[in-house]
Amino acid sequence: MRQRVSASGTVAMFVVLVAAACGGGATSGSGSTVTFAAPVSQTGAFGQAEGLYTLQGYKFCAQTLNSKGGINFGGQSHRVNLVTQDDQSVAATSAQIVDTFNDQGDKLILSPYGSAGTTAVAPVVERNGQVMVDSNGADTAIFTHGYKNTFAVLSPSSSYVTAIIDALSALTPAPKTVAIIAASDGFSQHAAEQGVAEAKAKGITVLPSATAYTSSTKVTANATDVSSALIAIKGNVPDVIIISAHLNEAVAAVKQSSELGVKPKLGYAATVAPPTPAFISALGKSSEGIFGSTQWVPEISASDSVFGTAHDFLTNFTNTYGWSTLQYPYQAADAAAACEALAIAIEKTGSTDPAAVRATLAGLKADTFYGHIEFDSTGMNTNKPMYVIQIQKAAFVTVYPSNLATKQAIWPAVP
Amino acid sequence: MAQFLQAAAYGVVQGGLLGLVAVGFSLVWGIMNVVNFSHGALAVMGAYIAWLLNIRFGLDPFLAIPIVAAALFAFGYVVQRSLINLVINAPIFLTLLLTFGLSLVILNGLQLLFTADDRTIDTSYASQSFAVGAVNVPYGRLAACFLAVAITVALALMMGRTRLGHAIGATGMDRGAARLMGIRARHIYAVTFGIAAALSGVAGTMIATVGSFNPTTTPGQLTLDAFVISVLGGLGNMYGALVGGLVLGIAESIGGLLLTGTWVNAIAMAVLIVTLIIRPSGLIGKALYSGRVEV
Repeated sequence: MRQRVSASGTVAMFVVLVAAACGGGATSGSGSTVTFAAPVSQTGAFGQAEGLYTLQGYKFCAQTLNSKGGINFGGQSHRVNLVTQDDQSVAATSAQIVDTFNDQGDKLILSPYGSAGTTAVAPVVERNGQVMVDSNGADTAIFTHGYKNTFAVLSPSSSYVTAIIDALSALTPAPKTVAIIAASDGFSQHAAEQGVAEAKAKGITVLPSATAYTSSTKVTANATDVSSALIAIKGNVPDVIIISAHLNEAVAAVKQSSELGVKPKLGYAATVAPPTPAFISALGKSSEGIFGSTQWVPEISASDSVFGTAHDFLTNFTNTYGWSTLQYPYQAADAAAACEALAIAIEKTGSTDPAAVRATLAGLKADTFYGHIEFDSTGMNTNKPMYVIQIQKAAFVTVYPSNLATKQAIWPAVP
Repeated sequence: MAQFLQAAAYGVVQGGLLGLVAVGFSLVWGIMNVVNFSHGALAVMGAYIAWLLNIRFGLDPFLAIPIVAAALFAFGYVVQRSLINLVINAPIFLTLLLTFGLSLVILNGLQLLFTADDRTIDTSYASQSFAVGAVNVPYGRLAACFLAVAITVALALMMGRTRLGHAIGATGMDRGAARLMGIRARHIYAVTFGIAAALSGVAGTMIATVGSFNPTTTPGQLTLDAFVISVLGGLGNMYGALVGGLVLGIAESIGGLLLTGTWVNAIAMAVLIVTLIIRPSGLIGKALYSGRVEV
């Protein structure tokens, strides 16, 4: 009998030891890892800039969370395991990757960069019962399909050009005419549409016509030649040219407008391109004075226990990835905020069950380094404001809203 | 009317730049029957050399052209002798695969060295323009257009009036007969590839001067442009690439104005398809190259 007890005790000890060895290095007080899975562009059109910034934001978030003990629930701390895969900047590939994640049992998804990818991924997430926090897909159309499992921390596409119009209207002299060059993707078109409405409301005339962004000043997404749109506004040059597009189109528009003699009287503005380091490196001195709308600026009065204040985030993130604090990629802040929102929701839920996490996200009210995060019934963080920066001496200078402005805007700002 | 004239003028200078991009590609395809998928990568390599010379030594991109061309010629010569020559008798798909692989190696190397950021050579004049009435003509693209014309004429003269040109032409027509005449085909092929690489480097320098470049999206676009223009202009004629580039540039510019900018690629392909239906050998191409003898 004693021998039997001894034998079974030995077996039990062996089982415990094997379990400990196979437990992923679990120690006392720490639970299993929590996997966040994200399809992120590392090659292709977004791989060089926006995708890279998004990936760095996710990595920085996981690293920071883990350095603070991970996510606490069930009386244990759980490390975050970030799994990413390159979607090659192709929306359909993003969707396939998220399906693969589901096959692997990864239910907690962070979005790819951009509206196109997020639009493709959202129905897959819905079908698979996964839950996604969207960091960089701003197209309002994503949230018109009744999806229940997608939540966006960033302001919607409708606010990108409107924020620019509002900022420019506050300057002296205020622009009387604008032309809006818009890329053909859904995000850029919707941002332009809302911008036209805002311009009308402010008494600004849109040249060559209010619907030109759908025809003569519409350009192919990611095009490096936008001469057709610029020629369309030649002879009727506006006070301001606004580019509702991504990096390639914005760089081409600024360069080619000078070549074609289509220089605006007061200045240029663009949606997502100017607040990215790649925009300055591509344009050099020609980027000076250009306005850009941005989702996040370090001047906001916001903080949390993970990243500290907005300024702390800027300092620590830029130190980690070698960016200058004068040229920080805001997309990384979007990404870190999405990751943090998911972590907060898991902690509040007390589990990683996607349905339960989804329910928590729906009612989430969190104050973070990124600002207040609270989703409406469609999953958008609609109360979050947009900001406007201007490139001054190769630095992003916050100029709007005025209470966050660090310097006066240089105006007129024709290079 | 002013917009139409502006679109036409821009199309001409842009077409010249496109012709410059394609002339080396067309030469290698026409003479060696190699569709060089590393053409865009070589152009971007040239762009980086010119960019480095500009930011390190303040060298103007036009003054950097001889250095870029010499460096790319040497690189192209060595690559042809040591690599592409190994499969020169193999089916065309193998050379496609090899040059594609070469492109990946070059571009990944460039990405490691320079990151994937967009770069541009910032000059005080390239993005400026002069006005002729209501039409603005950009200095940078106009210079690239003149360069394309000058290079094409020089290439045609070399091919028609020099021993080297005759040797290149003879090797392209009948390699076996050329060998019997004492022409060292391996050396001639390497010189041809070197010249094409040098021309791609010049094109890359111009692209960097009037636009921007990076090792991820630029090379593929340049190779595709060169392919379309070579087919459109036709092989076997040194002026084919220039004519193809001009036709494509004008068609895209005016088409983009009359329709919208989003139709530009469709217009380019439509022009190519219609041309090939009417003239299968391209606008001014010669059919004799299809009957080449390779021994």
